[in-house]
Amino acid sequence: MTTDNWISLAGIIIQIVIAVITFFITRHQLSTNDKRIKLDTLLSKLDGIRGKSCEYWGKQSMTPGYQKMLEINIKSDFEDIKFLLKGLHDNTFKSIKQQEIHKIQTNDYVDLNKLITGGSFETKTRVCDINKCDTIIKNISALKEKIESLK
Amino acid sequence: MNKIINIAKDFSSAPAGRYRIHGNYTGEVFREDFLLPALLNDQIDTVEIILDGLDGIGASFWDEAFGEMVRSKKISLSTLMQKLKLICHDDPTLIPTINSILEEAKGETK
Repeated sequence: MTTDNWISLAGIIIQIVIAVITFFITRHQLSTNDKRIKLDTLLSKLDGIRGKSCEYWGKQSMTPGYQKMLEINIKSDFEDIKFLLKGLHDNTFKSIKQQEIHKIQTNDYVDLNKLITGGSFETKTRVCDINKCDTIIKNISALKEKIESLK
Repeated sequence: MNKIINIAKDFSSAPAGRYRIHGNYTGEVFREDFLLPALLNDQIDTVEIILDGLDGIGASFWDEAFGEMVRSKKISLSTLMQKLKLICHDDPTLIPTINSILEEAKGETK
């Protein structure tokens, strides 16, 4: 092989190496962005559910139609949160984070769901419960801190 | 004999509410018309409840369906634990929710 051929071959190998490195860096950045988007969406969903559930449990009275609408919205937000939590179980998180996500999913989510949609939720005898609102706000703040720490 | 109850197919894919007066697919209706008859039937050894395919179920439904079964003492907790089998593939939070409701209800009966 001539020197020119060697130079061409080296050039091709370098280009392949650069392409492979670029591919992996891009993939890593995309998955990191994807993770951040999911976490930010999760945080905003929690903000949403805090507002709706405090309105639900904090109002002295509301029309049956409005109550039903809040119930549907709250349950729908929980479905979205559950979906987002499920989506966080992928390879972009290290194993320790997987454990954290699993704990959030099976403990914090379940507790929050029980707190907000338990008791007289979806009944005609819903009673205003300010203490529940207080607990909801505290639980959501604690959950948001945990989610922030996953970033 | 095994009895399989698929909530989404046999009852409703979107059950909601607590008491019978609140609708046709509430926790009380599911408990009284589906769960208890199956669990109290001596011919049935295991009652498998399939929880897949459900959307937006509030804890009030689960509490009335499962928690009240323990609180009302219509069935002993040991029989319940022995016969009841919960199956869920698409939602990792559902079985922990029901178990936690059963635990809480068990505490309330003491």
